Amino acid sequence: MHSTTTSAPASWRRPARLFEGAPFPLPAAPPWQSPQLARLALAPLGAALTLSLRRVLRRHPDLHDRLDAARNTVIRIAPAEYPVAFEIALSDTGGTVTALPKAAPGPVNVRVEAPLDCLLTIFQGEDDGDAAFFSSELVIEGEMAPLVALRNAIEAAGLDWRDLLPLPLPPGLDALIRRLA
Amino acid sequence: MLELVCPAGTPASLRAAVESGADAVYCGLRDATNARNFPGLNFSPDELAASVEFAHARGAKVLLAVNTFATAGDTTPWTGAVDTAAACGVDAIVVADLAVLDHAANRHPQLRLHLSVQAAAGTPEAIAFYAERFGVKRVVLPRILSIPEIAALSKEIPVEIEAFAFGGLCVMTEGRCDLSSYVTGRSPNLSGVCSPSECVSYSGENGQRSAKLSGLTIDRSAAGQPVGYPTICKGRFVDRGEASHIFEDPVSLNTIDVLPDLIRAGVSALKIEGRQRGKAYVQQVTREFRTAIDAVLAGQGTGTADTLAALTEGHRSTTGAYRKTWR
Repeated sequence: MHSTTTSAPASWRRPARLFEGAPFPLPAAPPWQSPQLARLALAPLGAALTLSLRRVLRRHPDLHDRLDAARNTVIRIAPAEYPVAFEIALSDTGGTVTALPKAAPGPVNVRVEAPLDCLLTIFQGEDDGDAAFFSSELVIEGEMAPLVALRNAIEAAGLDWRDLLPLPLPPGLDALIRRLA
Repeated sequence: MLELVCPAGTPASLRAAVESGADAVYCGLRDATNARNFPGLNFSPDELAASVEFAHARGAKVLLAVNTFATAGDTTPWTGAVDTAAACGVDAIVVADLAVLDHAANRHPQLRLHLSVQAAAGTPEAIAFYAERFGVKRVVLPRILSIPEIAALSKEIPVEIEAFAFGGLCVMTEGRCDLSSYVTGRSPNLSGVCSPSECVSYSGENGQRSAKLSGLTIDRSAAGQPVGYPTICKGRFVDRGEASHIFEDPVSLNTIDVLPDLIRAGVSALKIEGRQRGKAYVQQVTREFRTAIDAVLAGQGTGTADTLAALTEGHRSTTGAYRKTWR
């Protein structure tokens, strides 16, 4: 149908990888034996991310409107190379994040899986989510509306990795990191 | 002067576009008055006012898309959007509907009017009507014309020409497509959304991924293959025993290679599609086209390595109708 069509290379590579040359070892897959033990081990991580989520919602009250289609839904986000997933449940008054084994059963509205650095660069607005979807590096199962609302809200808020921390960095350290970034 | 017109779905994207070299940024309000009415996207009136201030302080323009068709019997959201645009000091509004054009021309005669691609005006007679009746200053051309046809048209019309330069493509009857409303009850023309995300779902099994729209499977592909947006026009259907993209391939427009020809044809503004995309897309495409336009205007070719392939739908790009060889 089109007169001139060219194809991109089959493998999509983003220009920057967050963890390239990181001076710290990445965590290995946790060696849990039972789902109950895994949930217990991951509970503090979920609690910390819940604090982060609520802090972001407090700092960006305008996000409440943008998140309308994501409210009262469960969005499960899974880094492809780890056996962990994160369930985000947004309500009228706030939200929670639950960390759980990737294989844990449970009703979710939509499930997203992509390599961790792909998820993080999209979170920080450094990569385009649609492009990751087109390349099939990011895979979606389930309903699109909650995910689209969440993605657009994150874009609008202009978040970065510091927003994943349960507490704000001390102002001096924050300023130093900004200067070094 | 060739204007680079870039998309913004959020204030963050608008700032990214301006800082990356856009001459103008177009956006929409958070309702059905514009053709990207997606969950969580678009601007509140307050965000629009602040964004206009931001852009103007940096020498860039803001255009507000009010480009869906008003509901018969209730034009209030559309006329209200025009009033908001005027109050916020936008540089122009992009409109398709006659009632909305009439309201803008009568109530806000100082407000510059651009004719949206949704009006599908591609003949001298149609464009002259909008210019004479409503004072439209620019037409966004439907993506059905070849470059020689644009060159011929530009000699016969009294308004500026804006042409799409990059991004998603629609089937060739913009503003008149009923595929989305046939399956979902909602369309880009009336509801501001094609394949509304509330109607889209994905599933995967046995190494295959399926896209469904209102429960109807519209595409199935092997896991890991490049894919496109979940629209009917880019779905894959079985015809005479063979599955193929019957209406349209999932592919993006990319005019970097034909920029000099478009400029010679009389195009005044180049539009980047993609208000639904993230600010990383807006940044990268704006920078690439800024470099290319500046190089072309300086007589140095397109001056770019064209790094946009990874952002294209289905990972394929085309010059579309600009180099068309069919009728």
